[in-house]
Amino acid sequence: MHVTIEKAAAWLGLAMVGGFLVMFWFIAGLIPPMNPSDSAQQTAQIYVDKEWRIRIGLALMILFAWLFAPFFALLSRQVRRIEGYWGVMSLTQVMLSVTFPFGFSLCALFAVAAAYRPERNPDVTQALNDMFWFIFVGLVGPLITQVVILAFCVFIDKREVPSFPRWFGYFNIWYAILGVPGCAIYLFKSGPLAWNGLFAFWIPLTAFTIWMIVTTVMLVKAVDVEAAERESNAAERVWEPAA
Amino acid sequence: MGTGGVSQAAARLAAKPGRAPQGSSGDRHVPGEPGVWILLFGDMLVFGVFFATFMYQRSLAPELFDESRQTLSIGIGLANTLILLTSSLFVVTAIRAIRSSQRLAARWLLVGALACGLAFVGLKVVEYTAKVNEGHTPNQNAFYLYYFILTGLHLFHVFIGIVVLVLLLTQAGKPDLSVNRMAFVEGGACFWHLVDLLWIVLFPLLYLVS
Amino acid sequence: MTLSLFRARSTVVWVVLVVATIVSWAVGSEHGTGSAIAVVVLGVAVFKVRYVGLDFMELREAPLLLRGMFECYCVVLWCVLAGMYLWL
Repeated sequence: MHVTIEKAAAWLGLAMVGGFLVMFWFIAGLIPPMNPSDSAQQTAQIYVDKEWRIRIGLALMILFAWLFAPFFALLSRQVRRIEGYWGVMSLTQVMLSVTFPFGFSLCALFAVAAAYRPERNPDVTQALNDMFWFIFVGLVGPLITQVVILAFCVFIDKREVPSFPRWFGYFNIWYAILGVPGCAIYLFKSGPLAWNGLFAFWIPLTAFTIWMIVTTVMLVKAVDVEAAERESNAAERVWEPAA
Repeated sequence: MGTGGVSQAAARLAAKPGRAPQGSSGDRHVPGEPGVWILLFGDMLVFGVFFATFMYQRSLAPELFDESRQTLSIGIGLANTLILLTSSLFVVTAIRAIRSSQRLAARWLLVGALACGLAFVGLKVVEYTAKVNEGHTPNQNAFYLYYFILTGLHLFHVFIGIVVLVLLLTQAGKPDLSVNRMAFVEGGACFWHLVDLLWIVLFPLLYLVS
Repeated sequence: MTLSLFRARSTVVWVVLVVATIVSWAVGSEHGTGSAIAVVVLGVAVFKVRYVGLDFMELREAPLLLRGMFECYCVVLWCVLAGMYLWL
């Protein structure tokens, strides 16, 4: 039963990435991103043209963003297994996981607010639009920290059958490095480090999608490792520490 | 440093930490471990995309790029290239020292590499300050935008590399390195060489070829 | 003791790299746009990258697949950058 729920959580996370792409790209049309150097008028016009696409796509995102939570709960549990108890690393994972769905729903709230009354002052619309991109593209700290902790855990896992193969640790470091440039979007209105730029948007988005796919597969395998360990522990009547 | 010659030779023969079991294909050994190459090749690939992007931008305004290029501090760029090359020499020699159990030599060499890394950062700060004081900022034109961004992203890698070198320094002090630890040390050394490698392309790309 | 550590291939490679750097700097700093010198300078850069990979990263003794991927990267990098320089 545990195994089924855990594996479902992993696949649900991957499904949500697909969902996110559908909602943000196909429905809302927010990917490819708007241009930060657009004037307030141009931005307001986009919200007029795409009003219902954005409102529907993002309303769905606001509803469904929370379905990322089980995936990250599973990730936190795996970190806890490696750490041996609910220590600093596992608890940090949990705390940062709490913020992850907000990266999608909070930004969506701003964009939906911008699309809600398209007849308003364009400067207000532009400000709300800026907030959407600032959160969606620029808030990279939580996930980067999570994957760095995860990489560290992969390397220190000294058990005979580790939860994750060592290459997965290096893979997480690679993703962390690629994800960092997103934080620079507040400094640029054009070029590769703007919120529509190659280095700050497209490369991190691609890397994030790859990371979710790979991590889902790795989590499913780790669940099997944990199930086997649970069985052998049960046979020897070894209890899992409560905390 | 070692003591008597005999004990040194014995130590060198006995301690070959990290060498993979000799396979049939004649002693081929993965530097570090296979996983680290996901990171290294992945980074090389992404930087390859960065380099190509720069060339594309250059093709849109070749005269502008050449003009702006000539305002760069090429002397600092050259010095930085030589500094990184030297630091890489120190690192590869340090790895050899670790393998032959000359821990003290290894640590000094790593300190040398670290000093080079810090010198690189120092010169970069001087260079950036000079550029900004002359009025060249990332907002000035496409060349300077990409100059600051590409060297900035590289500098970010240098910072990570410095942290890695510090970690290698702590490992070099240990008398015995497990297979995994040695793989990590070799991998860390390769990451530093990657930092050097990327600059070897960046220097001519930005300072010479534009 | 430390000096004997430097009596190795990697030190020779370092000398070659330093010389190559200085040569490409001397040759490359004065030229207009669209010249063949730039292609040569890029070639020298890739030549240096190859040596860093083979002798510093120790790919010379690595499994052929790994070394092959690296050498491929060098070739592709030079072709793409030189090609973009000449024909875009």
